[in-house]
Amino acid sequence: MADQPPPAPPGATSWTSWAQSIVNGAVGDYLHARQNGLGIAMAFYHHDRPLPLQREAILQAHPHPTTRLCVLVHGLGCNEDVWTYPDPARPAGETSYGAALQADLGYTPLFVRYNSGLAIAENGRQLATLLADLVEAYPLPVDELILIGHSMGGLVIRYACHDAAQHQAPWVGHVRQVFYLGSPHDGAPLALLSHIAAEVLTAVPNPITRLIGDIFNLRSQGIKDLRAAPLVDAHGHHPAEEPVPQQVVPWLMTAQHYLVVGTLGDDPQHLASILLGDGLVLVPRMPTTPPDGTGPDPILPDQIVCFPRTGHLRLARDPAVYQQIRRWCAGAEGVLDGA
Amino acid sequence: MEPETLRQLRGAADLTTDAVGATVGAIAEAHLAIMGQVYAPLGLLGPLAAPARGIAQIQTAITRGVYQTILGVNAVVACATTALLDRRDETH
Repeated sequence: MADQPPPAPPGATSWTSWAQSIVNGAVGDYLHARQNGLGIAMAFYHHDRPLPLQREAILQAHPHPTTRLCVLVHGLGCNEDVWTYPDPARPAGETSYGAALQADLGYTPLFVRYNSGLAIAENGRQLATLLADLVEAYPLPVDELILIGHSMGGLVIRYACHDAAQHQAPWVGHVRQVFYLGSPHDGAPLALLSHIAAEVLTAVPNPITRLIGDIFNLRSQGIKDLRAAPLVDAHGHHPAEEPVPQQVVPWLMTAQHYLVVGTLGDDPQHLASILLGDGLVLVPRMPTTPPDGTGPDPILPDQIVCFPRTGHLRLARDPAVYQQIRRWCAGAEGVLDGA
Repeated sequence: MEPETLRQLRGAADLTTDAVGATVGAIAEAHLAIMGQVYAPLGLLGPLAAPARGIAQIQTAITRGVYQTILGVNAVVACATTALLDRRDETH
């Protein structure tokens, strides 16, 4: 790769793209229901444009594709630009986890952009379809797929893997590792707080508080879904209107899962760090063995790393976080090679 | 102008119209509810009840008129924006 230019990040996005992504995060379900032109259709994006899933288009965007793919999924109200940060190796340059993994370990990075205001389960279903289309259109046979999700993106990935496993989609067999950066697997306290606030405000018999409560309730389904752990009904589908027994979305048992979390304080054990987490998401509880007792624990203690003094957004663009992801990828590479 | 940009502009215009309409509607509802709370006790005071009811009706009518005017202007602006974007669409 010495004769190639350094891999580029997904490409700077315009302020209008950012504004569109923020509006999608806030009221994306409304935009979708009204078929509003601001609604984002889920796609891979390259240089601020959708990447058509056709062999020629993929080759044009990635002239040197590899059989190892890295798919990055942003969080609520963001787009692929959230992954871009100044390259420590090149003072004037920029990089991203995807670009750095391409340079260091030969992964071909693909960046997803989507309407983060839709229900998380719906985005999971769409991501499952998108990945199926990608594997089909990709110019090379795919050997390995790693998934990196920031915040809500991690939950979208969980739903996508679950949906794909349910439907035995071929792509899910290629997933080796999944990285969750600041993903609220137990729900986000701020989302829960806004839910409680809206309920209280609308319950108070006062026109002003009811008005404020109604405004609170305009927030998107994607935001509302963040208040609790991701759920599916007993049949594996996202709960709709009907009250059916629910369970937490199962982890994909054929992949390794890694949690990266941040805390605002220096000491992760400090009360402030425990209460505030990275500012938006708390340090998650350890995932447990599935309720039916089958299968091993999905995440081992050494697959959870906490970065002190790292805020929520920074988890998507921090050189130290990248080094940890790289170590995990290289470690798994060693295991695979050894096998 | 690219078709995607035009589509987004249409979306932004529609969303702005919807947001203004919904906000004005919600504020009008809250405003009328507060007015009702103010006039309700006066209605209980025998000799003041009839004039208070009359004043309340006049104020309600004026208030509704003001909000309806805002909604009307919002609708006119929405139509004008759509027409403008249609013309841009036709010229490309």
